[in-house]
Amino acid sequence: MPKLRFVIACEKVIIDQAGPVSLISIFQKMNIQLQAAPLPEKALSNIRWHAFSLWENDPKDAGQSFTVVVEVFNPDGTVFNRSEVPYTNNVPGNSQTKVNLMFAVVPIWMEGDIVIRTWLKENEKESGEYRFAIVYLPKVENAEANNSVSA
Amino acid sequence: MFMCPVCFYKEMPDPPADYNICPCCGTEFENDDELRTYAQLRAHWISRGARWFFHAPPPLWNPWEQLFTAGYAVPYSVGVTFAGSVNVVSVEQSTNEPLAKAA
Repeated sequence: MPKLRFVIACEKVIIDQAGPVSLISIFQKMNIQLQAAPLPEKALSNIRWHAFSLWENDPKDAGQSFTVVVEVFNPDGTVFNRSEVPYTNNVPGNSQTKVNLMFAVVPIWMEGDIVIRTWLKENEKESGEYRFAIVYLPKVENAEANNSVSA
Repeated sequence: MFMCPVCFYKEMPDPPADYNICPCCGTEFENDDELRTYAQLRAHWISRGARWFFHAPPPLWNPWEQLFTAGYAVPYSVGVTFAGSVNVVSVEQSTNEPLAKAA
């Protein structure tokens, strides 16, 4: 069975054509500068980001298919996103599988930890998680004075 | 499936015409849009919280993601900055020992 080496959330993933991967700006804390108007229910920020996991293949599993499940949880524990990524370990000598999930938005409608949990559908004990914090900064009454960059 | 031109919901079962109603924003086409433009109807839907109209929304449905995906600006603005611990341990490794000669 494949083994999970790590799962992480970051701003960019660069995958070299030869295979090596670079992870850019690993998420730890995301500061949200609030404006005078309250955020609506289910508010998102259109920041592109990645949930990346690295799986170590077992040579005995050559030719077998697996499914990696990735769930992203809101700070209140509700599911924000769920993905199932099937793959087949059919490249001879391929010791690693990289699962790179891309998201176009981040949930920001509440403070707390965004949790990314991943596991192997065929062996749910093979799992791991990563979390990063959504932190609200004090409201700025004069929205014009703030150099907000995006929603 | 058809896309609603008001809220950009992609899975309208019927085309946005002939008195069909978008289950997402509730627009009744050829009725609600007789006197108001799509933009006006959209603004009205957003001003009321962009809530799902008919029964329960699909799992994980999010109105703001729907608007983002369609390239439409959402009605709120925040500044976002990334932050992290400054507790970084960097160690530069080096050896002053001469390399062992190859056998």
